[in-house]
Amino acid sequence: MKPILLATDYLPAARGAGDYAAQLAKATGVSLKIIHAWSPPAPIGGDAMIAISPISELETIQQAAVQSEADRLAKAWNVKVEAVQRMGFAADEIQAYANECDAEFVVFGISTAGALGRMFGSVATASLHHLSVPALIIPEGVHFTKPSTVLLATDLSTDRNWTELEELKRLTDVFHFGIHVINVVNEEEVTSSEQGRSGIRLENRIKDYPHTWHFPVDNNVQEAIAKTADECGADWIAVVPHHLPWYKELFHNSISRKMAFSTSRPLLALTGKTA
Amino acid sequence: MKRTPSNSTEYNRLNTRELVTLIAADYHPALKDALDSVIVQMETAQKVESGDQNVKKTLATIRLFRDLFLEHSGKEERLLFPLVTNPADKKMSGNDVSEIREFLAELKSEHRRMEEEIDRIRIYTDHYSSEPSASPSHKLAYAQLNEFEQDFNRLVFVEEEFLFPRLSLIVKKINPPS
Repeated sequence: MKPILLATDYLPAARGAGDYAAQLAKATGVSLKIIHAWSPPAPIGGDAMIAISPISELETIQQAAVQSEADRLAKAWNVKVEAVQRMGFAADEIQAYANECDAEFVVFGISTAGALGRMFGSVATASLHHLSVPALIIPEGVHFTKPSTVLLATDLSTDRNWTELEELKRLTDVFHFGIHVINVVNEEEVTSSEQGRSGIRLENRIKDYPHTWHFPVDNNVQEAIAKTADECGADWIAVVPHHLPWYKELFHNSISRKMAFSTSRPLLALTGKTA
Repeated sequence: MKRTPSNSTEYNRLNTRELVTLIAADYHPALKDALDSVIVQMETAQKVESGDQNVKKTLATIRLFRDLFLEHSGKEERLLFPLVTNPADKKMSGNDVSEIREFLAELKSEHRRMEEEIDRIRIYTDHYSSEPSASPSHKLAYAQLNEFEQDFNRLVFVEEEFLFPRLSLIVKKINPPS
């Protein structure tokens, strides 16, 4: 398995995710890398005189901060941790560094409290739809247990011929997951032929892995997924976020995004781009 | 199961959509209800005859069978039957055709697996025969199991002899071999 990358902003949710990631790295014997992406303070114009430190000084400060977090995790969990800081837009810098270090997935923490986080999304959910490596989102307060069961939630629409499953299969080979697949439909919904074919392709792709399908009928998709996750003892919930134009992203009520804020389990967002 | 054609000729008279509707709207729900009813009776029997290991093993196997059947029928209704009831505008590719054939083979192997569980139930129940001293729930459950096996075998027969061959023909028709 390739390195695990943790994206941190040092807030409690991110620190919890760091603890999770460190334990995961220890359990799998892979290296853990941390990135903190930051934006330089914007100078105020007009008559105000604000002294702004040179970028190099800011970078030194940022590097010390991220190294401190790395040291904390290394000491707490007896794992090797490398830390970097990058100046720039968070989602872009995380993506770039994930490519650079060939990360298996990026770990984010998410706080499930507070309407503000939900309204504007967080780095984690913003990254959900754009990263080219899987994202593992750890809700605040979730403690590590070695994952053995994953629930793949799907609406059976994919435009990538299920290449996302290659990421899931790689992780299954490491963790020996029992795979559960859930497709929730509401009472009025009629499954289309395209969805049927997509489901058949999915079944054929995973037939060599122990797996079980679930087909609840429920108008509340998130509730049905949560209930099934409880019933099958899922440690992680895996989703395939849809890729939408930015203007649709602003208003789209993506299930993946809602799941990220409401799940009490780590959420693994598959991308299909690393197959 | 109600609305059951009594012979092959009658099944042959149904078009594929009618066959799929018969299975989804009649056969599947009837079998699910039958399984639920048997489980209730067997749970009562187990309470009354708590020392009977065969009752215990039968109940465990029926529960396993139920899980297998629910998953299997869900896959058929959600993944396979829409190909018939909601045909796609887009033409199927060669890959789609081989995927569907592979899926049909998988469904058949699931039939075999479920039949093995029924064989197990037969052994535990000594071919659904109960002692005269068995509880009413026990006797009723065994009678229901006997009927269930016949209905299940009919479903498998209809799917493998009529529906699956027709689906293979449909995909061939949509994509005739060059």
